[in-house]
Amino acid sequence: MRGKKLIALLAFLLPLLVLGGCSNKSDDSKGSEMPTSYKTALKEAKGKTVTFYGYGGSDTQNRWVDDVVTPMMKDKGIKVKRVPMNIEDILKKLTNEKEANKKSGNIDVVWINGENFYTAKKLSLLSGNLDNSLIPNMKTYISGSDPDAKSDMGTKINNMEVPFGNAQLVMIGSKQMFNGDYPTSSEKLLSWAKENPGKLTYVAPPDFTGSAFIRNIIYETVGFDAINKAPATKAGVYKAIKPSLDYLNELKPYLWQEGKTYPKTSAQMDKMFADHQIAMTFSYNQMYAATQRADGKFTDDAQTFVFDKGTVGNYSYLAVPKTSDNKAAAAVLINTMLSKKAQTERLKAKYGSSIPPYSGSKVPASITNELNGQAKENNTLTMNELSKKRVPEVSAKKIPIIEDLWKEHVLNAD
Amino acid sequence: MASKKFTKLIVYLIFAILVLMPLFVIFMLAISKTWSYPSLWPKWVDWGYYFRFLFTSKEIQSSLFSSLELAVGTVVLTIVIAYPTAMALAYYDFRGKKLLNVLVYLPLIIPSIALLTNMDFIMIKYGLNGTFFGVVSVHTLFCLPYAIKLLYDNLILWKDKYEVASRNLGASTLQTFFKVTVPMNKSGLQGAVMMTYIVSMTQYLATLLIGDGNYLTLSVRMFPFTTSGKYRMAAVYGITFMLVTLIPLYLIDVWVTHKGRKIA
Repeated sequence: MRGKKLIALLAFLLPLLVLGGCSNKSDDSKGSEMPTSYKTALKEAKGKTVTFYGYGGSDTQNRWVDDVVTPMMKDKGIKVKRVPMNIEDILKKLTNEKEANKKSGNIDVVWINGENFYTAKKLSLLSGNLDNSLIPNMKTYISGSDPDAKSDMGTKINNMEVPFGNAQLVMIGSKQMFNGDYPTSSEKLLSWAKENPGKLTYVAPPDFTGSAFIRNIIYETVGFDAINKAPATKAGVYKAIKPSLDYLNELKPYLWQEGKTYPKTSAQMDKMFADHQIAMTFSYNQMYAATQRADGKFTDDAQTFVFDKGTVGNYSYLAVPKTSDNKAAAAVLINTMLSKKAQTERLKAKYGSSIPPYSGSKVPASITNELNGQAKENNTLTMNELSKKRVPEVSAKKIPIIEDLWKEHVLNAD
Repeated sequence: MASKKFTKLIVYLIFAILVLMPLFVIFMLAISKTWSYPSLWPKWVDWGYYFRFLFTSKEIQSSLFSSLELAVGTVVLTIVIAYPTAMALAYYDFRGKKLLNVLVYLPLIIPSIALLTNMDFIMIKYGLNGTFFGVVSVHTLFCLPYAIKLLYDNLILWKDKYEVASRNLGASTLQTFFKVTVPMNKSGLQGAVMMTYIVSMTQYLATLLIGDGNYLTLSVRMFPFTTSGKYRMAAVYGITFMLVTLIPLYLIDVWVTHKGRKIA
């Protein structure tokens, strides 16, 4: 029986031995070099497959990549593979590869911005050199002096990112519930809430839009400068935004469920808005009300507006990890995504109606016309109105601090 | 008598509400066009939507294939490891048996995110990252506790009495295993195979991290839609997911039971 026992144990250990056998096969090959010009990139990239890693929960965005960008790349002889992965997981993966000293990986282009870019840059996960000569469309459509081309939420870009989309917070109100008189300032919002208790709410941070709404309230109550100049410490930010937290606490008892609970996702809030349980929802897409109407989720009752003092706007970016195996193809993909053709297609409702990341003075007339035509048709804000009402983002470092303070002083206030 | 029937009815009813109601909602979501509060039923039902989506979406078809590929690989690897382990635990007393018993459950005890991050690190080191074997072995890690437990519980019933008898009558080790152990243990094996199949199919982060984007399974595609509130899309994936889980499970069930009868 002893022999059998041994065999059983050996059988159990066998897979471990197999695993152990591979131990010295660590990857020594180096990640590819970033080409110096678009021309060489195009030549090198032919026949390759480039991976695009990013948030996969937006079907319009997915469709844009699959139906517009992928065929455009195919014409250049490059295949595109879209991998839906949340940015936290992408960063985890890249950090692991770095710790394991792996020089080449599968992630070629990453959709990233703000605090995640700050983290990625700090850990030096990204490769640089994404400049005008490598991405010609950046030269054509984005001016070097554009603040959003220079820094991403206070983090210097240093040619590590290329703007890829433009987003600005808009409010969507129910015409019937607001009686056509939308609360375009924090004071109006508060007084409306007092008259109509239980009809407003916002998504709890760290949700993207909920967090942006709170920042917007901060701008309304203490102004951008106060938060921008405050030191990036908990005490410093708290001192600066104390009036904003007071405001949110004053609003709290008049919110849905008396502010004891908040919707967890913007999807949940949209649903409540569509059902007229609440009078207002927000979105990072100026055409959101229109696309939701087209989907049959919202009705004509949903109207877009912004605060008089402006709303938070930010960009999303594309970056190439240091470990990318295919830097040439990555550069071509970025340039293609930034092209006029791809960005014009992206204006269509089925691709999410996203505003191009182009600098104000360099936007092609056809795109401006298209956007204004859409705005008129859908009775929403024109690009000009939006850009006039756009306020910059605070430094990425302060966003988690603000979210913490909200949790401490508003959510768990009593 | 009547009261007993009544209790039975209540139990069935609770079961139906707990299990079938959510299923029904998912089903309705997949075929409804507009469904909003406070209407109890969708205003507009579109049966074609599900099938159109299923047959026009290249995504869903390719992810179906990766899901199945990984699940089958995981079932094979898991059973190969779990069977001897369960036998060792059930039949023999040896030093460190208690420790092995605990070790078996370790993958379920350690928070999976911590485990996965480190597994990913190891896999990169060994160059297994993104390979079929790499992903399958991580899936196996999460399946082993279930498979071993299910096999063990079944094997412990008779211990090795019949195997000893079989060997005594002159059967070889292999003969004993296939003609005695497996047939007697068929319900355990069936449970282990099914559980492994399900656990492998539902792995999300493991597939994504270790798979290096090479294995975009149904769960990987479905997850972003559920978290971003695209419930209709998620429901379509969900229904497909259930179909490809339930149909093979049924086939395995039929196969195992049938095979069992033939031997008995």
